[in-house]
Amino acid sequence: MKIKKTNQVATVLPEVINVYSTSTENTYSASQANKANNFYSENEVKIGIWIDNKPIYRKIFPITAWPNTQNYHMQISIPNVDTLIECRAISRTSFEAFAVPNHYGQSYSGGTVYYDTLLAGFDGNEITYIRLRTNSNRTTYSGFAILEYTKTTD
Amino acid sequence: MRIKKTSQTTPTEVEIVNEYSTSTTDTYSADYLNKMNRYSTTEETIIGIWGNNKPIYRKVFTISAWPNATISGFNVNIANVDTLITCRAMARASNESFAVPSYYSTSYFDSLLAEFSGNTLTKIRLKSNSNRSNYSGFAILEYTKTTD
Repeated sequence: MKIKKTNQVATVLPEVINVYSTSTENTYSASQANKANNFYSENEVKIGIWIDNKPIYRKIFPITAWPNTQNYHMQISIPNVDTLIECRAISRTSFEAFAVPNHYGQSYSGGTVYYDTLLAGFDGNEITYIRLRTNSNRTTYSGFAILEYTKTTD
Repeated sequence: MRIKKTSQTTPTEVEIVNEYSTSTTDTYSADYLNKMNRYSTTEETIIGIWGNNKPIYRKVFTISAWPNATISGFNVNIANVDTLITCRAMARASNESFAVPSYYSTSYFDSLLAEFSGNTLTKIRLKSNSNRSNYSGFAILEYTKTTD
């Protein structure tokens, strides 16, 4: 849809746009506005602006092979990462779900402590893996990791 | 800037605004919509609405002196905080990065806590039981204000 300023002739038309833009005079469609700040995808999506004015990207990684009392390295590749802003996961089985990092239990009274951690491994500026670490059997769990980051190339 | 639909003969004036607004008829520019998920160390950024309709503010604090098996406090001094909504951090070394709070094992855990004096959020406190002195990072606080 095209719109125009009430005081303008038809030659300059502010637009309702449907792709990422930094315009201060055009506006987003409802569809693009939904995506602008709260869109989750296995494809890389621009979702905001970091403190150095670089765009923030988000990407989702499904995790089917949750570990059993050990580390699990899931190989990924995100090159040119400048700042990692978010690194978290959700773990789900048939009867429960929880956020990772997670610490559940009470050690002081002798109860079992359960913990689950997510860590991103770097090789230079490339994230080469995410490490899921657990001290219990999570093989019945599946879920996903959410990474948000800026890039050295912006 | 005022606009009207090209199909309209009688102008219904709508403004594309580039700053925070509670208007129910004007709309945001693409630039401002991008900034609704903006992170800044120098200014509070309005990023949303809390359940009581108060605006949610966000501010980032860079942390260069990560603690070595101890507690480190950093003055932040945010006045008139009503509800603290988010209190988290990221730690980064050359080979890895993780979110705080973190519990990696009984040998490695890292926590972040906000200290209050009345409604002023005076300080954030990082606690680590291992040597994180080769880590740097940042803390992110999101909150509403008593003054809204």
